[in-house]
Amino acid sequence: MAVTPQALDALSAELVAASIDEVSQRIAEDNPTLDVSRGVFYELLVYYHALLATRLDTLINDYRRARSLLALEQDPDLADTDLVDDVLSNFRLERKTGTAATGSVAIILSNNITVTLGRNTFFQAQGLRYRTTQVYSAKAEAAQVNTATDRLITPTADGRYMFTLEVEALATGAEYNIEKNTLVVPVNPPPAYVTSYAVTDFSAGTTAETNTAVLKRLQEGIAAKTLSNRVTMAAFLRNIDAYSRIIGTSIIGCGDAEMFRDKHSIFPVALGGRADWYVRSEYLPVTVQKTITAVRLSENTISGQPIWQFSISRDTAPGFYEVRAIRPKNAAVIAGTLLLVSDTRGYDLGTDDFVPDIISATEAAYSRYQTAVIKFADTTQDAMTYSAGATLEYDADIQYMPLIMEVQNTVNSRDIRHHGADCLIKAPVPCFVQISFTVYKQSNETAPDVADIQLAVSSAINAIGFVGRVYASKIQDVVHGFLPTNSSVGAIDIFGRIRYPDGSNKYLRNSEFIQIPDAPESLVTYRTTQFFCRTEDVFVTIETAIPEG
Amino acid sequence: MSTVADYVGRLNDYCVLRQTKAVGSSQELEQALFTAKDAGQICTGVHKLMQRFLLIFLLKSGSLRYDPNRGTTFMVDAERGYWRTVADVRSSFTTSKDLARRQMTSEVKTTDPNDEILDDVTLDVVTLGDGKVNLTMTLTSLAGSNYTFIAPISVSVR
Repeated sequence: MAVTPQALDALSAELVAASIDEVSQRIAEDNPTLDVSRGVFYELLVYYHALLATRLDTLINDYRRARSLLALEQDPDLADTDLVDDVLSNFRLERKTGTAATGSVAIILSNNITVTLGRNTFFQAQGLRYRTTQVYSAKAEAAQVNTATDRLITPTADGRYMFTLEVEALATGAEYNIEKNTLVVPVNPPPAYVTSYAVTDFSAGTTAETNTAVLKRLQEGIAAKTLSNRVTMAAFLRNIDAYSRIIGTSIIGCGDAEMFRDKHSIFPVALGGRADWYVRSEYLPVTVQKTITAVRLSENTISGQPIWQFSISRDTAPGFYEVRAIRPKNAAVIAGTLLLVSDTRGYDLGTDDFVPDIISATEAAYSRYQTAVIKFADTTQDAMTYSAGATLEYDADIQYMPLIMEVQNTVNSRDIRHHGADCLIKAPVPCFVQISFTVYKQSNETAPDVADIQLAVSSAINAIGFVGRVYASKIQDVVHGFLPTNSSVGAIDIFGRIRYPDGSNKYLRNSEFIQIPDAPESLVTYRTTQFFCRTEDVFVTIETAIPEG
Repeated sequence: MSTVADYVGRLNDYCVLRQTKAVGSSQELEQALFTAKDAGQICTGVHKLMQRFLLIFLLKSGSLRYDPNRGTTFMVDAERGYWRTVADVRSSFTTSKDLARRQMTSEVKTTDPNDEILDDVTLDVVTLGDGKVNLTMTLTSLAGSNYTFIAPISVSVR
């Protein structure tokens, strides 16, 4: 049903009382000899008739309100998706359906033998199911690789063999976007199978638009789609199909404390004409594995390990946040990282026809113009193994916010950009959040599902807009939905790490709320910063501490 | 034997707690909306008063969500296993009777005849055992003995 009828015990007491009065009155008028205000007739018939009548009236009222845009915007969960879709069809607006996540999986084999995995070979990861959509043949010789789904088996550093293939989630939803290095296990393992894991973060998994999201898009849909004010700019962006799934944006412009790009003149005043547009295209940054070529430097660490260096160009992972891990190429062990020594950011405006006005690496931070030089120590080597200037390939896991380069290119185009201003697209300043708490349950109660709690808590934090605060009460509210009646939640430890555009880190910790500091001089305020929380960064301890009541 | 004429000028109610013995003797009530012999009965006077009292007396307080103050704790005590002896039942009865009387008194209208206004209820006999309890009560209206008992009459289905 389009609108869910209220349960009989969830009606408005005032409406029920009014209905009882009305029913009594009407029956008394129709049959003056009946005692309708008390007694059997009242308690068996009038009372329950009034309940059902109130329920029906409430349902009709809800249904009428569900046809009203005003009421829907006030209470988006009032009606089910079909009814909202009916209303929005009047405005030629269609709800975006969910999409299935896809990603690459590395299969590790003990022998270099030809392996064929058929279409619909099923894999599991964290309780979620994936499948192949094509037939993959992994072959030992490069000469045997003839089609796009033929894969070459390559040796790994520990004497095993590896090939990769693509899988797709069995269902739609953002929860299928698993992280890089997550174990993705075939339901029926192929011959010589050792292990398998995600080579990159899975992406493209999206949940169908909620009523709230589609109604917000309606508001933006009515607005003009131009780079003018904040509403029209958001409308412009979401009107482009590739960007319609963007989670949130924040625009810093003339008069904002965080705006420094309009003060580049020799005159110490803001001249306007500049906009910094912080775009969150995904709930979580995506980690991509890149093979990089590092150069051996002449320096060593104080413990005598060789230091290597590589560069990240502006096109490698545009707007990236951090290098999360560096490993020798095709390393057998995928966990851990070599020692990161330094991360020096720069910027590269390239040879583009039009570029925003940028004069420092801090201004370019998390934009498509950002570059970096990374130094790391290879703790697996002796300093004498390679001489200065030698090169070696490594795998680097780089964390970035997708679509930053694409959106920048769009707003740079001559037809679209404002004739009197420039617009710099940036990924939001990241505040990586970890949550820890204990659930105290009664001894006779079943323990709640920790994975469900982790997902719900991380989703709630990732859905926080540009407001700059994470409250423990919000997390409590989410967690309580998963707890048995007599269970309770202890103090919630909220830990946040902000990576400032200048490369420094600031740590926040509190059990009540954490708040983004107001540091516009560092480009860090609630208008530029977003919270990111992975499911594995929600730590839940279940403790049986409450005796049976 | 009462007739329709006895009901003129009175408000009637459904009769769901039927008398099973001759008028004037102690009754064992039977619960029925209708039987094979009739399509239901209506009642008024003392019988209606008795029904109202029992409905409130046996209703668990708080069980009507939108009228939470209606009812007594008599059946709550029974469910909790509070009754061990006859004295326990009498104790529950006394408390609940007062609750019921207060509620009925608050509903009295100026137009109510005396034989529809509760005066008192006494618990005459309590028998506990064999997994059940039998209560014999005497209900007195404000009319005392100065009233005419109007028996329930059958109604036809329209």
